[in-house]
Amino acid sequence: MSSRLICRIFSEGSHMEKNKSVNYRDFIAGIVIMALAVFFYCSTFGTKSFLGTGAGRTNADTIPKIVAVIMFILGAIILIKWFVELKKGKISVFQQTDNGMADCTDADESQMKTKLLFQKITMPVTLVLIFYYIYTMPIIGFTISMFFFLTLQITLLSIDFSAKSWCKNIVIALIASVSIYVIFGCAFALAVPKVSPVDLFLGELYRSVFG
Amino acid sequence: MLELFVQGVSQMADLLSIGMTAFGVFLGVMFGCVPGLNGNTALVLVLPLTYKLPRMAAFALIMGIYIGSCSGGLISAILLNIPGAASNVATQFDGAPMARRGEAGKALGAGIFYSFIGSLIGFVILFTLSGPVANVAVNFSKADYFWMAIFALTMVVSLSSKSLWKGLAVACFGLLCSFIGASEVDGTIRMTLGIHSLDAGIDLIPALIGIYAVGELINASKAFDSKFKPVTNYKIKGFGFSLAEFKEQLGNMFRSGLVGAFIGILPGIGGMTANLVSYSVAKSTSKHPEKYGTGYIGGIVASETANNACVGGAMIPLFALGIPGDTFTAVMLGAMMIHGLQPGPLVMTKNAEFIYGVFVALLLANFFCVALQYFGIKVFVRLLAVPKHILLPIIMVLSLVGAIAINNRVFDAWVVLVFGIIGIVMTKLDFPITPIILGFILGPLAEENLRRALMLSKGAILPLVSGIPSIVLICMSVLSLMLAPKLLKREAAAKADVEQADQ
Repeated sequence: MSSRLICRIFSEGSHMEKNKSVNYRDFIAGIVIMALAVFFYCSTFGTKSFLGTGAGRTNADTIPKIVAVIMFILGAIILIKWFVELKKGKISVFQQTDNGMADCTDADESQMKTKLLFQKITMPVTLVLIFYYIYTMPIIGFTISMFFFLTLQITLLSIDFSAKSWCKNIVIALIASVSIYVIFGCAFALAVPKVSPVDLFLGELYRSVFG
Repeated sequence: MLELFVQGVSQMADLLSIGMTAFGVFLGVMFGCVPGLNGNTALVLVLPLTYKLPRMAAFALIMGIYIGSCSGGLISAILLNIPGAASNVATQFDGAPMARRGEAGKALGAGIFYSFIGSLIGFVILFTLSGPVANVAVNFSKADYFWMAIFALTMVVSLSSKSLWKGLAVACFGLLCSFIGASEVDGTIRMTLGIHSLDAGIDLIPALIGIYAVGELINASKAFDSKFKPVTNYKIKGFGFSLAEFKEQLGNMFRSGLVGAFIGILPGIGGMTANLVSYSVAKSTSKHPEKYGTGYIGGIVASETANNACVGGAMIPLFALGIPGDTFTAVMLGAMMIHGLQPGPLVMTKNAEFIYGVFVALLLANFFCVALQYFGIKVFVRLLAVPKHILLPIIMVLSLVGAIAINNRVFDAWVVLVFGIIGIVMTKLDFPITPIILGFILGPLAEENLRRALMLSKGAILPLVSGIPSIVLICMSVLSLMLAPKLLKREAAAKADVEQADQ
């Protein structure tokens, strides 16, 4: 059992893959690498160099272009290897062996299913939350944006959406965001966006208490 | 040598630095023992703090975290039967069976003691080797530097990747990301797509936080909640093992320490590989290989000595060459730059007293680590139940604070998010992450030295490949690509071996 647990801690979640399907991972990997290489190559267009010409003088875009070409070739190799292995029938077919429920026989199964569903949506929702957190930070200030982010993120990870859990998480988020702002924004005077009345009020409060 | 040590001691001789070392060890052990969290997470958490601390205190804190996090995982490996971090996987093989038959106290005592010995071996190697290595590197020509960067990259690619092609491809990706912004030689702005915030390039720390921490945090939130009951009926008397056992393990101890330190020196792999390789070496050379995996003290000695010795080893390339070997030392490199140190071999001479102060901090952290774990083990066991759904969002917030505060701009928070997404996508596609980081760090070093070397040679290629250090480095790069898979096979064999025994 313990080895399975190790796998679950350190694996990148590959056990969630669907049953019996062709493994397109390396196909996508090759395409992504080639696309990125083209993107980087194009981004060097229009580079002006101030070094002038002369023996042994390389332009600022020469080496990036060479590396981008090498990267494109490596992407192509990954892609070709995938095709060759597909032809040979060597592409591994995923077998769903461990869906994360095997070790949890005593837990309520339907509860476990909701939990697994939420584990799947955690990543995209977290990324969206971080996006909004950064986006709103300069507009509504450091403390308030952090408070909203913490409330939503903690509730999402706890997978408990009852009124009681919300209340608890709001209190935790409030305490955490105020103390983080006071410690880092005021005491350490780090330059975080201080725009909202809440930020300014806390700053004043800190100064009046600690001088 | 002694003079340098005294200089280091005088650097560390203030209450703030000593206190920060202890605080760092506490955080490190705590993050090390909670499954899903590790030293990197702890480091990201305190990063904004290190900007404002004096240089010595900041690095004392970082060293404390490094030592603590390498060792802390042994607590959960033994008592929970789950390794707290990847560097304690092999500790569980023998530690957990010992705990199950009522010898948890002995296992913990041995783990703590040999962690200490491991760190000590690592410290001695770091202290004696880093100076000479830096002295060799100081005399390197531009071309030699270029080849050194290439060598470090090939090592990382071959050691951290299952597929050589994929590793090389993402290393190129890291290099290209590092080229964005003003070029090192002539200051030409390039590849910025007209975004002026990119003119100075992408900052190392936001990129690191994004590519490593964001993905790691999201993965940690997916890992199970700890509802496991730790073994609690144990008592530690002394360190639990007898003098006869200590004598018996003497050879194993020194060998594991050397294996760990050597693996630490190699870029791209760290404690995770060290403890598994050391375990497999110890088992194959032991007189009683059948005892390993059944709760034999030798297994704990091999694993815990090696993973802590790794710390000292990993810092040799960081300080002597300016090349970090793993994520933790990469963040340290970023912290060095924030505190006004230019990484490279010159650091060892220009800032000798500071660097030796860091070495002393490492030694001090080691003593704190023994004491904290020995007397505070009950506290750490209780901390295993820390609610992760609260801790992880707070770490996320603080990592963004750390990114924003470097250059006082919200733009760097966007860098964290973008690199976070890159990290997640790359991991999903089974690309190794370390080559991206190393490519990103070594890009400017490699490019600048290549361009300058070409200018000096007036475009001729031959002078670039004819210096003795260059030839040695080129040969080593080629060798690394050929030999490294063998080392990895050994690690895989050790894993498979134990898994087989486990079932």
